[in-house]
Amino acid sequence: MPWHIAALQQLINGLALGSVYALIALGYTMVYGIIKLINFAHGDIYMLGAYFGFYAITMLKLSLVPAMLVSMAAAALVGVLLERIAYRPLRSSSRIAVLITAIGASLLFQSTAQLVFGASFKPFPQALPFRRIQLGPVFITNRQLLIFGVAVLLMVLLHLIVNYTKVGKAMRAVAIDKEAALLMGVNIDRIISATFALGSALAAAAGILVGMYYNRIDPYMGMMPGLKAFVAAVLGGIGIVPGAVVGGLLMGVAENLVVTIGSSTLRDAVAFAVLIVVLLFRPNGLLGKKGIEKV
Amino acid sequence: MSRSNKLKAMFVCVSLIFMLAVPSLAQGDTIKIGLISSLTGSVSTYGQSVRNAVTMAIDDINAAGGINGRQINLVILDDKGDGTEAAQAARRLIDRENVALILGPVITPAVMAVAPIAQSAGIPMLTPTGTGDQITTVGDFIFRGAYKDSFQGRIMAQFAIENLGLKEAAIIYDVANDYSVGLREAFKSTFEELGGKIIAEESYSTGDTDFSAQLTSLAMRNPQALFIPDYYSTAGPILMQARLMGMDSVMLGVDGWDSPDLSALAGGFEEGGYIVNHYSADVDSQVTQDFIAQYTAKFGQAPDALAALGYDGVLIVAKALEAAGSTDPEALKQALGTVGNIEAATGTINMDPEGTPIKSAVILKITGGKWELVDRIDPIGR
Repeated sequence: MPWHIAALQQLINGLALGSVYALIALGYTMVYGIIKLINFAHGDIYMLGAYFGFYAITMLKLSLVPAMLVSMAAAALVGVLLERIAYRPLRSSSRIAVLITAIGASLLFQSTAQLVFGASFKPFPQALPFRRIQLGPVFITNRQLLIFGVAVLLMVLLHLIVNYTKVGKAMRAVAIDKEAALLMGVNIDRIISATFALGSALAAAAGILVGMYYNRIDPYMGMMPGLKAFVAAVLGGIGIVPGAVVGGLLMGVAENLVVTIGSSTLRDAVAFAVLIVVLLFRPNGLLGKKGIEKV
Repeated sequence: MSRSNKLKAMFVCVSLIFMLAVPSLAQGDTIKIGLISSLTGSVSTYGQSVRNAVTMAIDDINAAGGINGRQINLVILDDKGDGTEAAQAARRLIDRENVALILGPVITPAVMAVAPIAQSAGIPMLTPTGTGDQITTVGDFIFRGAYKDSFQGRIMAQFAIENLGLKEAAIIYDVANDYSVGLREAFKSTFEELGGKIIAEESYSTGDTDFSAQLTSLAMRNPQALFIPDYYSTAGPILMQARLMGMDSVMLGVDGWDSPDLSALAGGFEEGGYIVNHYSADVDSQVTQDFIAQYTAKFGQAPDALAALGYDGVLIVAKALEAAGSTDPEALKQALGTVGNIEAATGTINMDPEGTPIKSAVILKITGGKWELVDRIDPIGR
């Protein structure tokens, strides 16, 4: 395989990985946009989503799509409960208190998952046959196609919800000015719950896609992708929905290209180096500018 | 000290008294042995196999009247395959349980966390399964029941060149794991010594799940063979991702691949791979076949190499305790380094004062989902 074709192949791999980062990053960015909280437990919701999918397929004997829907619904519920129980009582406290609570919630999820699901690595039930589609000199696996398809579908859905529904309008209103939205009769608590539900459902979908793609899930699988998706959200401009998508794709591609060009040992380091460089030149992220509309 | 702290301190004191008192009441004249095993975590099938086999072997010894008339009392702790947890377990076994000897831990990184503790406390320790070369260099109280990584890396390289006729190979390994790094070095140096060429190398870190970038780079070079020195939980996904990427290289592995979970994690793509291992169920020895029959009857599944090594670890320790005639650490240490002619599940074992037994290895091939014996290699010196 010549060099430029390998790079093209890495681009495809990078976009697949990047789509997963983007799906997780959307949850970070939506929650941040609306309550200015970095929800550090978000990566663990992604992990829970993978396990929910695992049990929906193995125990409820569902096929892939219904299993994904069940898992997204369950994760949405966990997200809503997390906000209701852990974050809402602290809403008027300092931001650092909520942030620390989020880190605590993350550890709680990991330990509980280890207790309930077991600490062993689980192979994910492979509900799809393995296929490889040749596109000229490069190829794409049906799992990568699934990731692209689901990611694009969910992003379009999210776009429609945020821009064209009443809930979406209310979300944008709360993001711009919470007090003014309240005065206009927006039920802020319900809108915040809806935001957590949406973000968590997206993360759960990402969890299942990754389970299918890499065939391995474990209680700590949310840590690194969670961190990288957070970086992706900041990279794109935290609080800005399209920014999360751009940031996620960029991170995925950068990581994969580094391996082609340089050393695989540098892979994780590069993801964070990209962040530092971008923030030096654009402190508000790639798509960030002052006074932008946030969700 | 606040009031609640006082209460806590009292609670700790009381529980310590109980912990010290209860064993001495129940102990009578028993020999206490601690087992540190990875019962959960990323290499849980290893730890469970070892635990099963060790308890089975010790039950047999106790049922037959014990060692020099003394029963063995086994304390089992889980290290989750983690160095920090393993070190804590070791401290507990030495400081609180007062064990005569530590069996375990199972994987090299955990063993390396425990070995210095056992050495400085002067408690003999035998890891039935740890293969990292550096383990036995920690000190004279540290022993193992398995071959070294330099041995198995060399065997695999030799087999690849001499038996499979390969000329070039690629390697993908975990930079953050001593076991993987050690094997890569041994394989690479022998492969090149024998005239082969390593055409590409890629690495990753413990816990990674996405290997597509590294594998795409390797696939670009189209290597005849790919050496994957890692545990089943990582080797499995790598095998699957490599095959899906269209790599048709011969896959070469190590003892870490041996797990009932490998096939599920590799999605069936492990088929056709070769590994070096400690034992094969096809070996025609009475001890091996008896062990397989007993283990299968008791646990409902055939033993893997980890189980066989766990079983043999107990046989070595039992023979040493018998020879030493007491649990005195010095005497036990001497005995562990000199016992020999032990007919065990993985073959005949002769211990060496440097801590590593002299015994044979086997090459297995995965054919139709089963490990098939391809070759048996006797030790070259040590």
